Amino acid sequence: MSTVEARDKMAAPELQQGTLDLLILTTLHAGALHGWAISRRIQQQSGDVLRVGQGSLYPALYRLEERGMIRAAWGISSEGRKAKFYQLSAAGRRALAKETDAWRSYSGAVNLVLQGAGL
Amino acid sequence: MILPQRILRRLRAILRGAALDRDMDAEMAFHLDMETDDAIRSGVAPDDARRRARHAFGGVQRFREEGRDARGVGGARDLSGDVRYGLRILRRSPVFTTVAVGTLALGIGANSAIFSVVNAILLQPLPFPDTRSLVSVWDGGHSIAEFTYIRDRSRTLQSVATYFPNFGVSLSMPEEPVRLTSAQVSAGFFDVLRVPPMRGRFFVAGEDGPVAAPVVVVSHALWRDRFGSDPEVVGRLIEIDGVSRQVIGVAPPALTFPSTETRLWLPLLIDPTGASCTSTSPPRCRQSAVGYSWGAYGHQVIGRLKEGVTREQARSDVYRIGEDLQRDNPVWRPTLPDYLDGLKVSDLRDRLVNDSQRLLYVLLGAVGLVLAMACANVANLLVMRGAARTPEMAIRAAIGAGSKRLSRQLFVEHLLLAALGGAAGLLLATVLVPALVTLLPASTPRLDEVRLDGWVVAFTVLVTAATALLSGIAPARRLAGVSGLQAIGSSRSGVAAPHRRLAAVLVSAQIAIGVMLAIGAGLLGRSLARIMDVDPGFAAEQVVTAQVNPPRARYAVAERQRELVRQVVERLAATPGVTAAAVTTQLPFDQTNHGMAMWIDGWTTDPNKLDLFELRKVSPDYFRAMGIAIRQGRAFTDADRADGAPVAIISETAAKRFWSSRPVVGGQLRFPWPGWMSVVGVAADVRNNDLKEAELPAVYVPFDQSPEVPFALTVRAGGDPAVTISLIRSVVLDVARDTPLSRERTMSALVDDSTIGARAAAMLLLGFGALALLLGSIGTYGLVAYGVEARQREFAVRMAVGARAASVIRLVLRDGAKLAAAGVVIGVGGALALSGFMRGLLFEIAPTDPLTFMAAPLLLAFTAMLACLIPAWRATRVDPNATLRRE
Repeated sequence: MSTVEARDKMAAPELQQGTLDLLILTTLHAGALHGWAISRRIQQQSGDVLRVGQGSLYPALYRLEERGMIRAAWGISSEGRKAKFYQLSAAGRRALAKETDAWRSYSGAVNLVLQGAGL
Repeated sequence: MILPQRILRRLRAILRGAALDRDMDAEMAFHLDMETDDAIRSGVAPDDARRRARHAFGGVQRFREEGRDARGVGGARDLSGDVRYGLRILRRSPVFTTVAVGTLALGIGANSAIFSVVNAILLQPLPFPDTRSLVSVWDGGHSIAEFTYIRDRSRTLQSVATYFPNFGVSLSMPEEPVRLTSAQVSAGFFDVLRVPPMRGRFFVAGEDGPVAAPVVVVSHALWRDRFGSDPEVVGRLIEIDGVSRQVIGVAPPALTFPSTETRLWLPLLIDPTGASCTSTSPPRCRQSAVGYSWGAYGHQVIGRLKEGVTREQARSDVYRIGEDLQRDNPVWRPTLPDYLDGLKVSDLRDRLVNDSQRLLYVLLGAVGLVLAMACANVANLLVMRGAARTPEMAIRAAIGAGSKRLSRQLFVEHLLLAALGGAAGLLLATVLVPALVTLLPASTPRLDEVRLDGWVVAFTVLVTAATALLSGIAPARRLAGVSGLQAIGSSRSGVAAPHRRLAAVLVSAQIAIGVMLAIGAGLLGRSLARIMDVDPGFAAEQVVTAQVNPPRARYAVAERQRELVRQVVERLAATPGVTAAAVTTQLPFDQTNHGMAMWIDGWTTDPNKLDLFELRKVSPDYFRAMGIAIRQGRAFTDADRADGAPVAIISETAAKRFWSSRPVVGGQLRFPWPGWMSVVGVAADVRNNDLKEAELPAVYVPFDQSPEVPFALTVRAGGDPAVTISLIRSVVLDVARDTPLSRERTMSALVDDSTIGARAAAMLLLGFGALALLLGSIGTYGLVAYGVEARQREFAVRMAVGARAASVIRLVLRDGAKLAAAGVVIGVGGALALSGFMRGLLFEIAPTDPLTFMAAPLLLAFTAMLACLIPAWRATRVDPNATLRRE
């Protein structure tokens, strides 16, 4: 086995990719935000549990943009600085609704199993 | 997202890569600033805050890569990066790059060159419409009588035509007469080919009949070169062989059939009443001013198959007609025992290129082996270099390059090498193709169509891609699969074991290919030597020859022909420096045949089963001029004149065959028509057109007793042949201003011309063999040298405990010997398996010639060992102290 593969395993991301995408889309539901604000929002709303590394956030943003889920545009931040804002596209909105349902039924199912095990 | 949008976006991402990168950088800067500000707000010192933000952010460079990957431009960006990186790597090791690119260029260039010949001659369809229905009927040349049978009785051919190729004629021009090659064709010739004229018209039915007006079609080349592309040429009168003919049409430039030298197409004279000429009629039966004769051979037959008819059906149709011919026997030939076997219907192209096919395919095979060898060599170089680059790869893997990414990077490098090699090879081919065309015999059909065209470029691209795959994949995969640990572990011992194994296989393969090529070259070389050893039967040195072409119509009277010969020969013979001058109606090695059926008193019993002789009508001094020995009796003298007793001289072969038990001098023989001739002498056998050819019995008769034009002069004279040629020219011009000369050559040159094919094959294969030897030696040397490097420590230990230099050398040579032995065994096996292909190319040498099969492997093995000696010697120079301390 090559060393690369070994390293990849150790450096497994804290959040699975699909989950991160869902969180980003959710965060943008209320309106356009720049990257730093997105990571802040996720951190705050998860009660400081979920920290999104920049190394995961931006690739995820670009990926979502590439897939047409979100749109990006340069604007002025509340601090008066030039920043890149992301907002949901129509496709993103549809995906968000679908993914939210899927996540609810998935996490509900996992919870049921956990309760059933008496944990 | 729908696909086109996605592609558009990706394209934009690639095209605007730099702008997007700037975008990304700005975004990152913003992020860092926000992070820093946030930290400062929560009470961290500014410097500390910045450092912490950066730390939280992680590696900026890695982020960039991932960001790009997410944007979907990773692949393309990586590729252009790989290409740039690859070029840098190649530039950094110029020796390796030069050797590898040079090796590939040689291999690819040679292949492209040979392919351009094979493609033009063997693969491309003839330049006529619907070539699938175009067939050659019968094998070899036939008579008009036989053609009319086919034309009138065939049920499977929709059209059929006959032609007599390479018929030399004189064209009278205002300045001086010129000798041109024409084709005599039946009226349907152009209809069978389905080629429209460029100007005017082609022949119509009946124009090959006895009462037709004299007409001619000129080639595009003649129209351009001699008539200045005159648009008014159609309708003009030109004088050919003393006959005024009207130009009715100009052929398109692509029409060079039956040969590239064809400048004129003349209608044959097909006289329906000619059927009355039989096997016992004199040859002049129905003979016209253009040399037509009912029973004359050498006419080729072509036709178009009817819709839905197969060649096999046509063949049985022709076979049936052949049986009619045997029954009716309008000319003597159908009675030959194997007559019906020759009745074939073959694809016209196959028939035309038949003779060249074997040579070209053997060359293509040989050059393919050279390329395989070049691939093996480059693969070997890559493996060797790969070994040296193992640490680099290990480091790149350790800092995060995926193995796929690494092998792609390596493969891109190989592609670059191959592409450079292919481009250089194509350049090389532009030089090689013209060289090859001059090297091949001029009689090779379709040689004018050989060019470096789109097909060749496509072939080169294909070969280059195959080369990249063959030479690049194994080393690339091996190298990219190296793990960091492995590489670091092995970096000290030089070449890792798997590298050496692969390299050993490659070197053995090279030696095997080298052995095969050397055996091929050896066989052809030995065959060539045998050919050159053949005694042609005459002394070619100091003999200059020229074809004399009086316009036939002006010299139709026999006395005029005699007078011309007498005057020219007398004036030449009287010139100081000239030993002997003579004429013959058929010069040896002029690549024509003048077969004549002869009746032999006391031997021939069936007038329809006559024996074929090579007929030469010669002036008295011919034997002296050519240096042909008279074995018995006498040569011709001035007394053997038209009014003298009819005499003949026969060749030794004829004497042995037909007069074995009777005195030959005084024997009687005659042409198929009445008039016995007495044999007065026996001349040494002379090879006719080819040193390889079996002897045909020959008969010589005095020119004066049956004169004929055209004829050839042979002049034996000391000094510069060019002087003799200009002497001949001035004498002929003086005696007959209307008579052009052609083919002014020395006899030695004519003999040499006949071996061009054999020499070209031997030379090319010898060149390929030498190339293989060189590549094989480099490969062996490289591998053994690396082996020595890797085992330095072992050698040091051996020397330290007292091993002598000789035993170390033996150790190294044993490595080389193993490689060579494996290669030799495989090579000899391969050569044996392929020997069948060589059979038709060899003369008096078996395709499994033991001497060649011994010598070639020995040569390869010897060279391989020689290549091992330098590294072996170096092994003995290892300083045990230094080496062991380093460890």
